[in-house]
Amino acid sequence: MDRYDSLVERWSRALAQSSSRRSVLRRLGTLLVGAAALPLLPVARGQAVVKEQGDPATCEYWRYCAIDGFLCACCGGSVTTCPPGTEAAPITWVGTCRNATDGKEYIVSYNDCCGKSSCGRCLCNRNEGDRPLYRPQAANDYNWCVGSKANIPYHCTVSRIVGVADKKA
Amino acid sequence: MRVLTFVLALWVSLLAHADDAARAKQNYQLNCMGCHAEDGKGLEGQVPSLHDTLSKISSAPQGRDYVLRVPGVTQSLLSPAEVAEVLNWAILQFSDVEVAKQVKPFTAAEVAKARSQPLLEISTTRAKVLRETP
Repeated sequence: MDRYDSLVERWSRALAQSSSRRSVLRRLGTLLVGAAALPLLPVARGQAVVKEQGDPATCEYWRYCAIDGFLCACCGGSVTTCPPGTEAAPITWVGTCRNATDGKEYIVSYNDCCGKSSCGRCLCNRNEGDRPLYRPQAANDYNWCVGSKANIPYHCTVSRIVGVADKKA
Repeated sequence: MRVLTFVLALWVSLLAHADDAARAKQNYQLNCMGCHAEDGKGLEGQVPSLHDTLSKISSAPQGRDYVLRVPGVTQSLLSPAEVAEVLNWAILQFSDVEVAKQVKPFTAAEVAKARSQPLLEISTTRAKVLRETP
């Protein structure tokens, strides 16, 4: 009988400890604060792999929706790297493109590669979001190589994803 | 019940803050980083770095007036509230935390008033502001 009493007592205490009002509040609080703090953790979300389809050597490739220039993927470089002998201008044209594979809008930085004369292959002029030159912050007709150390000669353009445009104004 | 209300309020507040910061970052990327660069360091001799100087300039009245009248602000397609949000985010992002906390946050009304008078002498005004701000 003592063993039975002891067993029931332990079970009752365990139940009381795990189901009290304070305990519920404590657990709920932990869950809510934890869930809220999760997005603040310093995780390198920008490095996430983007699922995509298409050929970066063609103008139809989704990242090129706002581009105006020669594709570096056709000029000895890649969609994100400049060809040998050129360097990326730090001042860029930035736009957004929709990735049909995952349905998300991505922020794309179009960096001109500079230091050699024009590549001349795969001219791509899609210009989504482009504005006239009297709207300089939103116009992509500038030669951004003016700002690079390699100076003015423009060769081609790369398309680098810098984020996801998922916040409404 | 009061504890639960407090926790819920804290949760909503944290989520809202994270969302505001994410929107400000997105607006920075879409409207500012083309020139000021992703890391806010600009381009030496051509585009000013936002590191430390933005908080310094924004701590004095003449500096705040300067910041809100540069071409990047006056010609921006962002609303005054969005400009204020981006500036406040950039100050926190590109400055020493303790220094950034001392800077009075920009408001939409402040942006709307100042940006209506674009500045013509950018470089000389900036140099003057930096020289006269402790």
